[in-house]
Amino acid sequence: MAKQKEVNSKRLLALTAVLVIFAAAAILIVNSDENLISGFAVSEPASENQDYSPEYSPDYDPNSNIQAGMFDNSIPNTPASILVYPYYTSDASNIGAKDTRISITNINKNEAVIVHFFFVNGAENSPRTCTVTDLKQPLTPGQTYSILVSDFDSGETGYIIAVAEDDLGCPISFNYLIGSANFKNSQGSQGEYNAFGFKSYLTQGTTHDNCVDNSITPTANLTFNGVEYEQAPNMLYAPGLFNSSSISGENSQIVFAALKGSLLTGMDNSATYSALIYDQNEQVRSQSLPVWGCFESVAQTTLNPLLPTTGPAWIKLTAANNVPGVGLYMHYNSGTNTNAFTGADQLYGVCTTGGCINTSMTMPVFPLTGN
Amino acid sequence: MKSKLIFSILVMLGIGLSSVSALPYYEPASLVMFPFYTVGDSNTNLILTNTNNVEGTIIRVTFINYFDQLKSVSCQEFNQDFYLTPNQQIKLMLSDSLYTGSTGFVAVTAINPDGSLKDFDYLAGIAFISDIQVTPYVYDNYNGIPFKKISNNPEYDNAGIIMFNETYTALPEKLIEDFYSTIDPEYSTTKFAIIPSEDPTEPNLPSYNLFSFVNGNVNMEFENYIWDNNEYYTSDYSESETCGLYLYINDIFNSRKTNSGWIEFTRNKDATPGITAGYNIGGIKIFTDLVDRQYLGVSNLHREGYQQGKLRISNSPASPSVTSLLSG
Repeated sequence: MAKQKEVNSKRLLALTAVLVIFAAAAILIVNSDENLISGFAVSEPASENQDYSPEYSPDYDPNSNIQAGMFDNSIPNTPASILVYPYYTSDASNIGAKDTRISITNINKNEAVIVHFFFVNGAENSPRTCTVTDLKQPLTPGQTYSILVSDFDSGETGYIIAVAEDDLGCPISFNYLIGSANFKNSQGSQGEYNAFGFKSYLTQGTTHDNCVDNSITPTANLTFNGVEYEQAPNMLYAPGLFNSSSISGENSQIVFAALKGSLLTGMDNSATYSALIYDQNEQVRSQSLPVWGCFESVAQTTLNPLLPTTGPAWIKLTAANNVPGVGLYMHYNSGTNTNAFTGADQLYGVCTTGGCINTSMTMPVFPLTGN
Repeated sequence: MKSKLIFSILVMLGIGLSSVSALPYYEPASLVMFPFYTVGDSNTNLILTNTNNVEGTIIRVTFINYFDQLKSVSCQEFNQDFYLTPNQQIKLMLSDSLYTGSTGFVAVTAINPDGSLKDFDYLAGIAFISDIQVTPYVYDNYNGIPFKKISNNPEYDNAGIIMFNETYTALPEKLIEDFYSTIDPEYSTTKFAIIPSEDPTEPNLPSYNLFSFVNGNVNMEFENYIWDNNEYYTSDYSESETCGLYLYINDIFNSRKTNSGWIEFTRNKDATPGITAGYNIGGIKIFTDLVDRQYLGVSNLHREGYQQGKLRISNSPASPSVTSLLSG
């Protein structure tokens, strides 16, 4: 009995020691000068053989961002594995007035990648077709590639999703892509915007969705869930819109592109958003919007009745049925007011109570030679 | 190793990375930086929004000149305070309050009535630019760069010191951007405007705060690495500036014709006298093209990596006219 007591005592002591060590380790971590709250401990190595101290400037390892991202939801314009260009347009008969130039760059100076472009047709049929046309383009290390949309998908309007993939056509983690677009449209709006970039959380080069090749996995899911790729928000903000009757004379427009569906058979056509519109006097009005589908370009004629004539306003757009997206706000000057500004940039995105939205898209898998 | 240990603990506790969320979107923040403004025939229109629907805040809008043509000085600072009620949006046409010919960058911070920095991640901002220094004129808008408040430290907050990567989210290690340009700026060009910070790890270097810029005694060197569309690498193009860099891509490609590629901006991190270390806060690209399809545009530069940095704004108490709104 005494021996059993001694054993129990030793076990208790060992358990206590383990708990003390565990607690001490936790305290050390929390109190470390590379504290958790700052989030971006600059000397934090993301892998065993890379140094991220301020004195050493390595080629960028974007996967180090992910850990940092735990504390920073505010990181637009960083390199990623999937780029989304929310808007393109062109007119085959008048490309001087209506066209889009898309640029994409592989900022990895050592590794090549294949980019699979999907052009989603947002033509305003009833219902929208949301059909997809695709194109593959290899990018050598450091290469910038530009394309005029009129050369590839002329006469169409919609949005573009560009996915980093391997030689077999499987989506891979390759957080080295940046992109931008210049556009001119028939409303008179023109400008430049950066593509939205969704980073992969997997180790660089790893395929998503256990993709092998098209004989085994003819399709692969791109899952935006915070584990495979970054998530999408359930609320979008358009930070500055104008009634065309206001003194400054700008016309405004909102463009939305859905991130759900199939890049093989067609994108989801059910996106529904509700709007809260705030004017300069903090007057708020709510507005139900019609179903947007996979793509929506909300024109000035629709926005004008919602916007005050006294100055700018801003809009909160809330996803009503968990179909997230990206978008742009645009301005153009259709009148003679020389003070009117024009341009475009990304909609803001936030996750409100209830969190971000998990979403997925299915893409076809086939090797480059099958283009 | 520590991240692995943290990860292991999280796993032991049953908390996987599925709880991690990071959005590649612009989000409201406590500090919004605009890398470029211009006033005069070229002009800038700022639209600032408080997206909080229950709480108002004071904001301090700080303008730092790259150069003021009228006064022939650079690196001057000027600020204005405003009170934003819940959901309120204000529009600032900069020609209403700044000298014609001034060009620079803007920092918009949420502050408390005593002038200290405030944790208020609800500010959104956009800037409309009309730039007639290039032909054809550029009209476009860009979103302000958001920096969230991630911790409070009275030592810094009360002094008006923005500590990136400590009290605010981090700076990028590099700025990167594609460009499209020809050798002749009359046909197409790309301009870059970039704002620097100071490196808090280099105490022997010149003072970091904006007020030192007023004296124009802080030299900053940018090293730019350029890849064209043939992946040709141009090394070590350097540019020294005081409180900001304003660069024409055509000045770099003065002997070689190219039409697209990408550029990488890093601050010179050699701690040599007269040259500050530190990292860039952000920048924009201003693009115009007469050759191709006459595209125009302004956009924020892309960013990569994470770094610390420092910036100081005035910590004087908020204007009485603004604080009176609080009591009212």
